[in-house]
Amino acid sequence: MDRTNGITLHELTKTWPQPGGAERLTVFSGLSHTFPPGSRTAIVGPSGSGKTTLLQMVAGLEAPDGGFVEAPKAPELGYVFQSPALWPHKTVRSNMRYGLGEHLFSGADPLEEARYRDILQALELEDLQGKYPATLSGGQAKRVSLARTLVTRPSCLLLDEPLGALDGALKDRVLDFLLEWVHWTEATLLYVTHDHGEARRICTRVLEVRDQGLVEVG
Amino acid sequence: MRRLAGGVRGLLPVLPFFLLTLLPLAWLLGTVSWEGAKAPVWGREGLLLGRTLLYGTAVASSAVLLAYLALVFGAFTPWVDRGLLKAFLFLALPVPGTVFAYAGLKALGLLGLPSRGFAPSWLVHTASLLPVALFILATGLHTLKKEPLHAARLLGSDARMLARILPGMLAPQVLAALGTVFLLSVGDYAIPSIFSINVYSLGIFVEYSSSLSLGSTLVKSAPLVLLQALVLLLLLGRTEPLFLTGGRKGMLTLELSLPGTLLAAGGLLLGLALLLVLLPFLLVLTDLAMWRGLPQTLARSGRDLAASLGILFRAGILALPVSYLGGWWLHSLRKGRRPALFLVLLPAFLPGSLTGAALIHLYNRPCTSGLYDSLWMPALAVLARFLPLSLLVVHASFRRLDRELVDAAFLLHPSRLKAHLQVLLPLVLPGLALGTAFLLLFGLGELGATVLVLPPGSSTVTVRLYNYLHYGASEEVLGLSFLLLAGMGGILGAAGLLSGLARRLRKMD
Ligand SMILES: Nc1ncnc2c1ncn2[C@@H]1O[C@H](COP(=O)(O)OP(=O)(O)O)[C@@H](O)[C@H]1O
Ligand SMILES: [Mg+2]
Repeated sequence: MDRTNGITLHELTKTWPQPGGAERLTVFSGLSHTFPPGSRTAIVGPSGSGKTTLLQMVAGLEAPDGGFVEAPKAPELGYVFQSPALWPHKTVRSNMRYGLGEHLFSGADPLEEARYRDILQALELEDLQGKYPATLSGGQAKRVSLARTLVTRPSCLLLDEPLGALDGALKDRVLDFLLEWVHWTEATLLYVTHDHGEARRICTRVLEVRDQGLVEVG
Repeated sequence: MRRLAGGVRGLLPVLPFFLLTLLPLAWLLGTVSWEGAKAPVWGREGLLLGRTLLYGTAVASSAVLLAYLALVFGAFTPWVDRGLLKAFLFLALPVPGTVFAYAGLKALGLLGLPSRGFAPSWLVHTASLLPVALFILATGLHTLKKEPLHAARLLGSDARMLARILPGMLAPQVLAALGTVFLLSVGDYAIPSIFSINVYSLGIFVEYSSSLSLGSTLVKSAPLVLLQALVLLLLLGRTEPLFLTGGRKGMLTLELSLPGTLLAAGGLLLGLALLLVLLPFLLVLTDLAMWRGLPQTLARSGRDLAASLGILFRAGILALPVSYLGGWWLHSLRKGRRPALFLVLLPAFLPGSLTGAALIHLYNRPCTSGLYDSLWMPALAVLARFLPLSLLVVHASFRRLDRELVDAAFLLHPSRLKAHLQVLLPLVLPGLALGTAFLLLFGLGELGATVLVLPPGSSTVTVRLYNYLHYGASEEVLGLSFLLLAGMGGILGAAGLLSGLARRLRKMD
């Protein structure tokens, strides 16, 4: 696979304004790091440490105060937000098809269609196709959100606590499928979680957000 | 029995509100004599109602469409100063229809366009209600979540997000804007009558002032009021959750990359919307003849101005406690929110002539003759029509408070009164000032009810302006328009000062 889908952070600094005019909160300062193409890295850390902020900067949704990011752009880049971020006026089906654009409907590629079905099945979403997001449980919404991005087959995938709302056996099955999917697509993966076990299972490296930077922990 | 008593006690805070807004109408309904009431001529009424519906729909859809396109552009490009935009919006929101009518007459005259008929009236009415549409939609953008929009941008293009995702996510607000503009436009006859088109609410006014029969007025009003109630009910069914959200701090800003043609079109529309909204200010404040004639205007209209201010003073004094209590009541309501909202909002949309007639019926009796012959009557008219507005603003401030903070206030203070006075009132004071300012600002331009209930021999600036407008855009009209804009400025300034003061006081302790 010959795609320049790695991610490089150059001297990133990021601050957030604080309520009530207090001094700005520094989340990262002088952070440099390279995530090679096809690497699978988990980002861990307590909540509020800056994991989501990091993904937002990689995706180009938040500008850093200093430094810059080199990363693929959409549609090569896929980002599953911490909240499901589904569109309330669209059914699960149209939520999931949105990223495929129009081409699936015109001259439907059978191979693509088969992949779509696979993801649907693996994430156990077949029965939810006609439903609206407001009627889904937290875990269901989260899986739809994951599926919506996976079907576009990004070569660089940012996942923000994708299994947060799942539990037990289902969580294991989804994790297995994700692992299989990443192996097969050779995508670069940034996986945010606060579950170290989960992190070790799917990723080859685990980094922790600490002291306004990233520290290798396993 | 106990539960009933509890229910009545629960209603106590909102009682003053309903006494001032719905009681006159309820009293009218209960006690009117139908004797001599004219039976409606169904064919003619139906036709007029149909035309009015068409008119309201045209005004609502053009105002909301223009507001939507302009706002999307304003919110999503880096070139627009949003603070400035917000300030303009607040300024333009309460500009009375009569002042817009002046600006419209003047602008159409300058352009050599006809100033009679459907098209000019529609255009000017659209401009006059555009700020309302902009305001509701801007509030909607304020409360939208960012992530779903970002998700759409990453999974498609920015342009596709604007076309396919944003309209759906804003649908409740778009509906609320459409409904509100529609209800306001069909309830108000000032602009259509000046541009010589007949609408249903004008028919109600004509009916009452020609026959002075309350029965006939009620019969005449019934179709329009029922239609308005129906629209409001449907609207609440779809948009009630809007009243439950407290609103996120900070306006939604996304900097989108869009094709050049789209940007150019958006910029043009935003420019057009701003021009329309600011037209009254441009045409009145830049007119040298107005400034030259100002001393004369003041001399001639001093009495009207004094009456207007006297009315607003009386209305403001009553509005403060009533909207505080009503806002608190709506906030602490656990069950039956939708019917409550319906009853709270309905008075704001009723035709002004009906409200005026109902007030006359209630207070024109020996025991209230002191009230009846005074400026309290138009003040009651202002309250009856615009208390819903101030109540909603106060309610929104209550919603923005921390739940725990409110609970703590009641736990720590042994008496409820103390909790209110020492904790809650100071916290919602800015909202109370803003809500009352809104009531006064809209009250300044109130025409439909005021014109019926003014004590003999007196007039307000708005009523005078409306009467002169029938003779065209004269200098007299120009001066009166200025007085209204200046009055608005004064009210806004005072409210700003008050809420600044309140904030300062809060910081001190
Ligand atoms: N939009 C924002 N505005 C202000 N502060 C923010 C914003 N987003 C995040 N923060 C702050 O930045 C810090 C890191 O947040 P986040 O990246 O969401 O952490 P995590 O994902 O690790 O839980 C937190 O203290 C949070 O309050
Ligand atoms: Mg997070």
